Amino acid sequence: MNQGYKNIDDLFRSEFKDFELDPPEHVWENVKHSIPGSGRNNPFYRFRYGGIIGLSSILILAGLFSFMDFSKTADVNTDTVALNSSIEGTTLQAQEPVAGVSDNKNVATVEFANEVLEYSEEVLTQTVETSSNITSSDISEIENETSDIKNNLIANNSSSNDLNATASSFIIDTDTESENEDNLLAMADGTEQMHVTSLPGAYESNVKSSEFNENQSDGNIENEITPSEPNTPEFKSDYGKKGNILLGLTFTPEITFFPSDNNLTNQSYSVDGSVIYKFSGYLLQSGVGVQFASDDGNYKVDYQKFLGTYEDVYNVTFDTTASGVVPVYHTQTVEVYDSISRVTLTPTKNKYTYLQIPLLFGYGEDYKRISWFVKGGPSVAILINEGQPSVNFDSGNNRVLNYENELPARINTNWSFVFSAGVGYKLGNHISITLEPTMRFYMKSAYERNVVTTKHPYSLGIRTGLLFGF
Amino acid sequence: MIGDDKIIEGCKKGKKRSQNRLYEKYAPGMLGVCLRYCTNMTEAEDVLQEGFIKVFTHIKNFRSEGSFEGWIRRIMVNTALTYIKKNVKYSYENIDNIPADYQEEEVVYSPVSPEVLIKILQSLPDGYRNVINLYIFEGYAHKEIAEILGISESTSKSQLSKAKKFLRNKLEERNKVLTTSTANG
Repeated sequence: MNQGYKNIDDLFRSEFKDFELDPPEHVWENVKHSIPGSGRNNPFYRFRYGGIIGLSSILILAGLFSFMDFSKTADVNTDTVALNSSIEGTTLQAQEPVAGVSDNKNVATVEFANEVLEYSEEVLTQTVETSSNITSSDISEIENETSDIKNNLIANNSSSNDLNATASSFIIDTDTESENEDNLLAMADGTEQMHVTSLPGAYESNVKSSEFNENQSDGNIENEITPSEPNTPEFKSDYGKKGNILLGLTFTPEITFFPSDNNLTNQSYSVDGSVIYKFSGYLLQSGVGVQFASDDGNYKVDYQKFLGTYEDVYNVTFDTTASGVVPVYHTQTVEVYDSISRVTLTPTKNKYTYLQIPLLFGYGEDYKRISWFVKGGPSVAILINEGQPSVNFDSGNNRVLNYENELPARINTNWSFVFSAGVGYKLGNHISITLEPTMRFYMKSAYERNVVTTKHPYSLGIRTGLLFGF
Repeated sequence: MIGDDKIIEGCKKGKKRSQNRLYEKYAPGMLGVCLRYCTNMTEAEDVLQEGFIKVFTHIKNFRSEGSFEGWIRRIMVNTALTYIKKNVKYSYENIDNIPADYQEEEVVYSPVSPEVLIKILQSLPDGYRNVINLYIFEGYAHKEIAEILGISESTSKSQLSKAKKFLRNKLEERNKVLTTSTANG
């Protein structure tokens, strides 16, 4: 053990060498919340609700529209395949005598087609039994219609496109009738049209029958009927261009950076409605949007710490009583505060709402389902609402001398240039989803001049949303 | 035990766990440093808080060329000096009539607990306390102290002499009190 030190320097150095004290927990709590890039100061932390809600809304809407569109397409496809299969079933039946060629593939195809027909006959029988409530006039009407179609096909030596076109009108007609009429249609045709689709592999039978027809070019009219490409029936969404005007509903989370101050960033998100006019690959976009921004900062509170009270004698009077003169002390309670003023910072968040109006010009190209585009142009943001919460400081017995919101004031109107490049993906004929990284250069600081030296800030964002084409 | 390098890397990436580890590792020692510069615990906590916010804000600028603890310590000292400058008027009033060229007599000091030494240090006026902290604990020369505090070199020297004399008197008083107490007991 050390018995002594030769001088004060040694004494202090040695005694304080490993001197440690555990700080109270609130210090770490305060530090934690003030660290840039974490917790409340994290740029993405503030997007957590807005981002989740926005993204979820877009996905739900996209899913909904996609599902609706897909359902419609699926119905049409089913009918189409059914019709094709049935017609080819008929063709195969007629060609059975010449099917004994040494092509194993064709033999297999004929066998498969026969299986299809056998199965269909069974279904037909069941259908007849369940369709007893249909009148004979309905049956004869559909019989006539079906017969006309077949005659047209044979007489005009129709191409596959004609076949599909005829089939289209046929299907549209049946769509408008009752479900029972669909069943009757199968009966009237004399084959097993509509029910073939319920057989597993019916779609494949279409393809194989097609191959068979191509190989059997013996001059039969039926052989020249080439079924339409099964994967691209004309009744399905073709995702082609649907017009020059698009309406957009988009959501954009954005982070703004201030080049002259590494510690200053702020975040915002906006919801925009836009109109896009497309002409010869070029596009012109405008619209209106609402941007929600916020600044995290502090209230600086000057206060004096409360130390206690004492009773101050401000007057003494004397009362004469029987026992003599008695002094009476008149007192008042005086609160005592530390003479040193203290400063504390309490977090606060100012909220701002802007109205945004962009005018963008760009170029893009559309492919089957994918499209790309680049665009840019000016945008004006007008401050329409500002929310500044009051100071949240529990002073207790302490005396607050002054408090000041340290956040700089924002300017009312701000111009910026927006550049973006993105891709779109068509979910259906009239709707597509878009993903569009954007970059925005502000012409001047978002804040009042001389308050923050942050000229020409820029922001990065990702615009996502839906486009409706007309 | 995770090394400083990993903690620093984690803090640079903004990992909360690393920040917490760094704080837990260095905060107790730094509170001791802050307490030497401040007059009470509340002030020391304020300085510690402000100092660590600076540490986490600027840690991305730390290059592992020197001691990390030394870097944090410098931040704490600078924060404490700024805090004192901002909140308290420097006082360099004479604490006695000790001449500036006072030479410490050769005596042997008994070990004293840091808590007692802190109280003695805190009884010094701020200006004196700053000089003695920078000279004894941080190892700065008078020229550097003069630059840091914005005083002349000779003022720094005289403040140090007077502060030492003051501390010695306080220690002697305490010794006497202790001796008297022991004798009476």
